[in-house]
Amino acid sequence: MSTSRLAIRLYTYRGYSAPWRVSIMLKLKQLQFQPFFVNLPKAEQLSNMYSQINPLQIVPTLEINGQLLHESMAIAEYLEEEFPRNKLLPKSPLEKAIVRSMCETVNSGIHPYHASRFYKYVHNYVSDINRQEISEPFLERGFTALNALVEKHGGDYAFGNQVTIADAFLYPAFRGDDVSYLVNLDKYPALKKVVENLDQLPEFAYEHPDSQG
Amino acid sequence: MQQKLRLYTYFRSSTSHRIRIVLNLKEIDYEPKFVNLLQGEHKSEDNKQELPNQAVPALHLPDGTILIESMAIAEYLDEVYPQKKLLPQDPVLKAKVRGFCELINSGMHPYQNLIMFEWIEKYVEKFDRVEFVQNVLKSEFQTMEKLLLQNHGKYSFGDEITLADCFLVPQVMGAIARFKLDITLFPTIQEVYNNLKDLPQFYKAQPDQQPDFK
Repeated sequence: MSTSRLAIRLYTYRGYSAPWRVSIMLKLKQLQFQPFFVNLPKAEQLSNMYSQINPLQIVPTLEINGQLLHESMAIAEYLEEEFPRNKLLPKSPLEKAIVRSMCETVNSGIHPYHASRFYKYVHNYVSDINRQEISEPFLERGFTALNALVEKHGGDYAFGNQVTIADAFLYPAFRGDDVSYLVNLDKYPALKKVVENLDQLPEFAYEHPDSQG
Repeated sequence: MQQKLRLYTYFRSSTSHRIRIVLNLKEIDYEPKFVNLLQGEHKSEDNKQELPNQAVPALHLPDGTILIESMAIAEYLDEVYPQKKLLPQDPVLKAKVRGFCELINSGMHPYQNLIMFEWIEKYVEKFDRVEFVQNVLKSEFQTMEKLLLQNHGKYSFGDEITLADCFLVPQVMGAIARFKLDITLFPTIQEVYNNLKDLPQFYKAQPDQQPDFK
């Protein structure tokens, strides 16, 4: 797909893990995009104003060629297929399955257990427990599984020595503002090694929330 | 020596149910291995190698490779077994189908699995699983209903079966049977579900049709 007349807008909040994955993907693919900031800590995605713009009321959402795409994994696969430069998935179906299983371990095995609505659901039943206590056992389970996958298949990065979509999921899963205070990277040596390698790459650079308009 | 694909499955596991449907639609012959989640077999030492993430589904290939995560397994099967393609060709439509699957996979299901319940039941005596899950699903199903309204035909996306249907049926079946969700509140979901659930590939995959059903 030609990039000369593309209009790409990312509904995002800087520093939060889920939209950060997409931001990393766009940078790895060298795609220019316009960020549109939605104040997630204030649940702005649920506001009437936002629902006029984006009826799905979900962040991240990618607007590309007038289409609204949601879910970071679906967006990642779309970008990978439509913009073949800087391949972010290996060739064979088997290797792709391994990379995807790393992404999904984050997407459905870790992220749901530090999302703000998770805390709301739990606090309906258990009021005298803080976020660390709630998330800890779930995150330990998820990161242990992810560490085992990366230990087995990783090299410089999550899968071998090339950056893949797995890195775009793994890195914000530690460095994201919505999760970094909940997890100790030292407990997961295989993941720590990869995260520290990714710290060196400009596409993974942290963007401070205060730098959004 | 293992000849066929081997699927580690539990009859009531929604995530296993999705893959059973995919395998049926693609007419892939497989060997089921039953894992009793209620008895904690997924966490046993015996299954440590077989279930690397202590969860079902796990798909064992004839060469010994083990695949986990239902979305990753489904994508693999759709690529390697091209008969009855479950992802559309059009890239935007494909993204919408994947997005729909992920809404269920990462947006709803993590809050209604055994991990969730076993944890919260340590803190809450007489925890009402049904009430908890109904509270989760009532807003997520609204998003699902919106997506279907935009995209449905006979099935979730138009008139061809897609991966979205393989995720929808287990999610809705479980919501109705186990969590007493009133599906009539979501008429498009109900309509699509009713069009799908009695198709033979879907029917044969459902929990009460499994050899390990109790």
